[in-house]
Amino acid sequence: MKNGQPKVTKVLVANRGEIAVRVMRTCREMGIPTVAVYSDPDRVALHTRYATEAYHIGPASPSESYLRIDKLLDVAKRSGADAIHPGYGFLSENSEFARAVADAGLTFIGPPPEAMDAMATKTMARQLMAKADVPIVPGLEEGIDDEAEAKAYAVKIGFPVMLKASAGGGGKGMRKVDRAEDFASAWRAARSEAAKSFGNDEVYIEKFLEKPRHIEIQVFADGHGNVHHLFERECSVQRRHQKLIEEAPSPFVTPEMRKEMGEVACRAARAVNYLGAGTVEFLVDAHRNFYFMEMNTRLQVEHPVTEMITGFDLVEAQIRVARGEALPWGNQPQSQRGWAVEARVCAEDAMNNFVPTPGVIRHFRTAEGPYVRNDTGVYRGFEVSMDYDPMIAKVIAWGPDRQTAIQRLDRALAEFTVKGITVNSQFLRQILQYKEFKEGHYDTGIIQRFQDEQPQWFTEEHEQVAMMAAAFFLFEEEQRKGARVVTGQGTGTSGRDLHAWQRSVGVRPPFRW
Amino acid sequence: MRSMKFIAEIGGRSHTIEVDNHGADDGYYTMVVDGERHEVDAQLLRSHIVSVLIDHKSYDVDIEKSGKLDDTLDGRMKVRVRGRVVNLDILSERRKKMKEAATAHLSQSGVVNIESPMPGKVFKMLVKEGDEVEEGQGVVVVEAMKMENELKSPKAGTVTSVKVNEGQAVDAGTSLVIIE
Repeated sequence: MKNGQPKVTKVLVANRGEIAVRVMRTCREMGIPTVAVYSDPDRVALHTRYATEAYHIGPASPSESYLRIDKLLDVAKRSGADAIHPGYGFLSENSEFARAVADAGLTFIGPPPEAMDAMATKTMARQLMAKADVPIVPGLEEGIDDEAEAKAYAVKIGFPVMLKASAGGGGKGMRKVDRAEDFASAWRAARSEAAKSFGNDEVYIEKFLEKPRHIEIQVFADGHGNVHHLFERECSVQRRHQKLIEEAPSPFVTPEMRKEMGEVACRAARAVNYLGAGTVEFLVDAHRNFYFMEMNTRLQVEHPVTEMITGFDLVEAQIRVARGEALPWGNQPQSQRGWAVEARVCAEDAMNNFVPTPGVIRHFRTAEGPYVRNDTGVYRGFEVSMDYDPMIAKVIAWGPDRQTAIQRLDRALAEFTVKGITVNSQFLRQILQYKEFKEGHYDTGIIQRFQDEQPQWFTEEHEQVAMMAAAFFLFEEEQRKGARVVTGQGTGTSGRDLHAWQRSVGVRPPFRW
Repeated sequence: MRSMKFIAEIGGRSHTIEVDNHGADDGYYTMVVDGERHEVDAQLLRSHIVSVLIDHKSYDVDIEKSGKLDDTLDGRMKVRVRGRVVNLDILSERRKKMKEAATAHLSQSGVVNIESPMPGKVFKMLVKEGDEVEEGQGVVVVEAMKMENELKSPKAGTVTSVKVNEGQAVDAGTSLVIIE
């Protein structure tokens, strides 16, 4: 910093929802006042209510509010905030924003813009990582013409490989080759299909990853030359390429592999002069080979599972690093403690192709009990807007071992109740109890396989009790309607003496949701 | 009213439930489910929670109506028992009969009204008036929460009316397309 060490005495949180509240919580604990920004529908959002100060920044559409750098900087100036925390999503990985923040003389709680740029484009990141000795998914960046040359390359990276049309998409001109003997015919087929579909027969080669798992390493760097890793997170349970359930550690990673992945991730961070919290994502194949996929230059949604197994507060560490302090835990941590699992509760209908279900929350009950954490930005009466992400809460459970953590999260999700809008909490429980997940042998195809199988979930007992409770509920509803008419009689305001509109007002419709 | 009969449908199967409070408001009920008798201790709590004791087994049940809020003949409900959700369609025998009378006329004409399942924006209209559609064919794409959702025709027929324009904001339940 130009004028000595930054202080971070007031933090503007350039975000909304659960992550804004989560960041503000740590700020409160550290005695740092917070500044919220809010769009029209977020006037009564939890982050607006939770902050020390709050400033309106525009209409619902993010491009006119949460993504407006000029408005955010203006609020920072008006409020006297000297640091900005971007959360995740929105502007968190936007280097232009990080530069603008620094140019305004403020502290950006995140990595330097140069590091963000280096990781932003895939080809550039691949080149940098290869140079830093970080394994990348083997493959050619360019098309290849000569069959013999192509085959030699395939042998070099090892079968199976994928042949993909350079101009391709939608599965056309794509061939998986399992053995060297099959190479020639697949080569011809892929090229002719590519020519027919795209008018261009150029193909390139990439290693085919069998049953890929998505495993990432949390890294942390300070301005004193320390680059540490905080172990891995397993994030293979995904729908629409978005994570649904994450756990730490991964049931697939061995101690040696953890050490190696951690060291590689630190190398990746060093290669771009990283600072603060970052995540290096790897694809891991069935043979435990791991390949760099990308680096997320921000705090991740699933950071709580790392907090649970390390006991650290990652937001606190981010703020301390931004202040120029060394990493608060001192040396590279050597081992994690226990197991943590996180489930993302989303306003979506998992039984109906995950369609979003925005609306007003009529009843809201979070999970409680030992070693359970809820991170949420909503409350009873709040309207989940169609303008923002459907994730409304994260429920995280810790246990001394994996099975305990899973059972605890399952129990917690059974307590977690939302009425008024459909959420995916039961679906999350079904995944937790799905054989593959329970045994820890899963990969990114787990949701698809689960949906193909559709295991029976409720029993005849659930069905019987559900029917009795529902019938009782309707019975009482009918009884109450009757009871209100009876009350009217003794008071001299019997139905006969009332106008039609008065009668209709007198009997209040049952409150429904 | 001392006793009432209800018809519930779960996954295409139909069940009958009779509820009898013995003429007293004491929280004890006799229920007959598909001919089987149960003595039930039930309490209705705030937030549509029902606490049920059957033979000392305790069930904390969450009721959520999932049908149309202003339609008393829409008996769809989500009922959560011990953390597991049962989707059922339940109406009293009387309302069930009213509904059958009302829908008999509808199914004859074979009109299908495709409604938006959520508040959002009409992202793309895939059909126009007069188009023939197949069962399962996408007719309109509604966007909400950064996700596009294609709504499909539940039956083969002709598009007789397109009620919204691309870009238009719609509420849950807004009629989008009519197919006959």
